[in-house]
Amino acid sequence: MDILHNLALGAEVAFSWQGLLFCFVGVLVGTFVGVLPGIGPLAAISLALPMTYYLSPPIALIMLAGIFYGAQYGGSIAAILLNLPGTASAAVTCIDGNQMTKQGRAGVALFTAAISSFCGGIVAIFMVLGFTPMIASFAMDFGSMDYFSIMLLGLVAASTLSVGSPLKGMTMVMLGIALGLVGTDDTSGTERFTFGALALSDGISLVALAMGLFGVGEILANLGQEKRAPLKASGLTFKSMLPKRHEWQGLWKTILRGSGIGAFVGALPGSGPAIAAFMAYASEKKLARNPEKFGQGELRGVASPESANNAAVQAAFIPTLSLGIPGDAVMAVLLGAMILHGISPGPELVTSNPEMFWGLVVSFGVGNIMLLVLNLPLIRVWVRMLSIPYHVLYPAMLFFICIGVFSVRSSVFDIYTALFFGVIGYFLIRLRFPAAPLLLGFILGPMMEVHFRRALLLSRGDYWTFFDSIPSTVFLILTALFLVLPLWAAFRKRTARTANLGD
Amino acid sequence: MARSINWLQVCAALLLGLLGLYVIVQGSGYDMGSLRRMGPGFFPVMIGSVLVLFAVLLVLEVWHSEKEKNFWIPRPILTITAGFVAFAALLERAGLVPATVALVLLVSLAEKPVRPVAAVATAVGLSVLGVLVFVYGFGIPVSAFEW
Repeated sequence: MDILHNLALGAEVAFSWQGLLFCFVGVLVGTFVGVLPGIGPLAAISLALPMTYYLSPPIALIMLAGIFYGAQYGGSIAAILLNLPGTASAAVTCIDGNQMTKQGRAGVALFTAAISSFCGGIVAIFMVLGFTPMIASFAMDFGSMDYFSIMLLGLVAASTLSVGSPLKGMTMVMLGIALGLVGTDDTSGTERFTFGALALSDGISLVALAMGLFGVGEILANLGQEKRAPLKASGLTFKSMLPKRHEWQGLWKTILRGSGIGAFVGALPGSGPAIAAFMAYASEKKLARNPEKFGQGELRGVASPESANNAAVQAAFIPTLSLGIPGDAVMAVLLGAMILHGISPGPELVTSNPEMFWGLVVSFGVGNIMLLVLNLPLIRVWVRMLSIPYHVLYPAMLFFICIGVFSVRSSVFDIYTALFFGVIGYFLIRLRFPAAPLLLGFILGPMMEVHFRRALLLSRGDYWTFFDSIPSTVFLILTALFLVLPLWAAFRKRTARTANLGD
Repeated sequence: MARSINWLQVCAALLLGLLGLYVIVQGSGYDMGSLRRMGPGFFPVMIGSVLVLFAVLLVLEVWHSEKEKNFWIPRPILTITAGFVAFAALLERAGLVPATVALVLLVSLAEKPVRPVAAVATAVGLSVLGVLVFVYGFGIPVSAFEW
């Protein structure tokens, strides 16, 4: 049994004292940032990135991944209690979760959220286990044109599937690729767009860019907003969290459906946990015999998105680990972390760094169990976190951003870079430009250029090479579909609008 | 139905278009190479062109879009800029502690009402934490105080 052998190898990594410790640190930090509205997993992972230089690559990845899925557990707490999504993917949970709080059933909602997240995570882990090595071995024969096409698909999918204008998303992707051009060209050694600055010859720092856009930018946007309502202390006891039997009935089906949708959507390039949660909720509402109950404190309205978003997070590792292609911005940063640790992501990863892949997968299981423990008996600790005043929190976050950005390559220049992109990030938020596709473009852009040039070099300048292989053709057709669908949707919306004579 | 033009969005789109033009101009200054053997200029010109195209489409899309509220927030932007600049300037010259104190005190001015006690307490707490974790823990090449 090959898989047992591999799992044993993974367990060796995940159950080493370092593996356990940093998995715990990761999920703890993740829950923390998930609970606090205003800092998402992206900012937290970029923050933790420089600190992982002192760890071995598998341990570093275990910790960073822990932040990502830990945040999905934490995100539901603020969503349910305050009607504020702690992370973007918990936005759907607000709808029914907060209604339940208003009805005095906050405990039940929190309990269901934790259990659903756990089940979603477990289902997705099996998907990762089953599919990643399979896809990786399939992708072994991928040529440069296949890589270029699948990256194009990922970028187009990410920008058209995001909330808001697809055109804005795609413009941000292009901006990200343009920013990725800065620095020394790998193929020829020419310095491009560096303005003669030595600090830019290695390119724009990924950490500075991510921290600026998602850390400083978010803080500025929060500071510019009106004050939020403070949390009312609620009497949460463990007993009040246990749902009654009639509430539980049939809930497992909802959780399973949510996990399935989440795991599937999460594995697609370009779609993140937020979309998975939304799709699971929408389909659950459609399937329900009494859809009018959704939005008025329906337990299934909590279970479905929560199982989906955590499943999506785990499943998002499938394309990242099997192809080296990140599905969303958080995965892109994790991929960046791998590269910084000297690991080249791609289909060889599973076989060339087995301790990394299997260690990570086993740690997902460990981490989800830790999170269940952290979120059920210790829920009151997290609720208290919500009362940390923002005027203490944001200076601390800015401090960690400054010192974190600096410590990556001991460069003062990068602090200014983070500030610059922070201000840009704020304007992007206010102008409703999504920043996540920008980051994805920034990371994928240089890889795309390499594959684009290599593909055309091998085909002697013939563009049809992108249609020569079957995978590449399929990816390009899918890309075209993703481009046409929003156009069609916009067209339908417009005709509907003229018909209604509204707005 | 006649809504006013959303100049803020239009200007943003135009800025992106200008950036695209800049990428094309600057990119064409590098060796373009041929399709068969591309130089470092080829991909930038391609990206710049698509950026310009998208920017033009964007101008059409946002022409009549809904106006933004509280777009310009000078106070937080200026105080955070000041804090970052102070941190960057002081870090290697004066040390981590003065840089941290300057950063925290300056950014604490971003929100009204200013809370001096909380700001000083946060500054002290973060200085201690920063020195313990980053200077002693991770060994970044900066000391607590540079003399």
